[in-house]
Amino acid sequence: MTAEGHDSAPADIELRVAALEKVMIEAGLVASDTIDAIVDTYENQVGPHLGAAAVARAWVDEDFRRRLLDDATTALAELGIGGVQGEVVVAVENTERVHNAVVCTLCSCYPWPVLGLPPAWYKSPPYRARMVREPRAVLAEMGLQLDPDVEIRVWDSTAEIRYLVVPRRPAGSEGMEEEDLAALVTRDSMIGTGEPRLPS
Amino acid sequence: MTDDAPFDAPWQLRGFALARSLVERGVLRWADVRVPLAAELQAHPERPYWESFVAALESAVGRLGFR
Repeated sequence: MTAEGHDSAPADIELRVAALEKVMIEAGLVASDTIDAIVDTYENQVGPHLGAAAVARAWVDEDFRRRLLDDATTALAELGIGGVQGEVVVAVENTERVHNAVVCTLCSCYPWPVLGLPPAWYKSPPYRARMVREPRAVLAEMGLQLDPDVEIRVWDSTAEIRYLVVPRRPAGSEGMEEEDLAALVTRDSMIGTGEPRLPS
Repeated sequence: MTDDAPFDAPWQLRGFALARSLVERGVLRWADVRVPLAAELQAHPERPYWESFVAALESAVGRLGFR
């Protein structure tokens, strides 16, 4: 996505969205309040802080970690993180030997309940096309240099299955409180295009 | 691949929220949006993502017999 892309007649597309909304409301299929509530959810409530809390919990609580890796949708519900019906979250854990990364090659599927809406680059044609073909190069361009011995597993999200990467707990974070650990967990580390912050 | 924001104008989130509302209300299944979205993205790789999203939503709503 480039800055030039944003020049195209914004007023026109605003009107198209408003027209769609009007048609659906007038048909009695949706209420304006429902749409307002969802806007508020994605603007103010869901976001990477939820995923970060789940990862930090997995780092400090071995039983929770196992539940998260076994059935993330149910484990996340324990933290009050709710999926949308019919969408399953699968957690994949990084290890010394394996690095996981997530893409949606077809469109923009993403674990909304834990990470909110995806960044623009996640939806961009180059990321979607290249991440499967040459993940090591793409990750390096994004600032993540992985040891050649580390296997990269790329998970292609679908409408039904959304992946969450559980990054490795950074060295030097021993003894930190769960809440402080959560602050180390970046959005990109849960997509697999970055690593958690190091403790200061 | 450095553009970090999920959206950069209110109509984008409004369109997404409208689509989610229609799924929540059982008017559409998410696949009804996702399938045309993938087709729009493939047909118009240079078009900004959210314009393809709106086009996909228009086609999903169109298939309900509206517009």
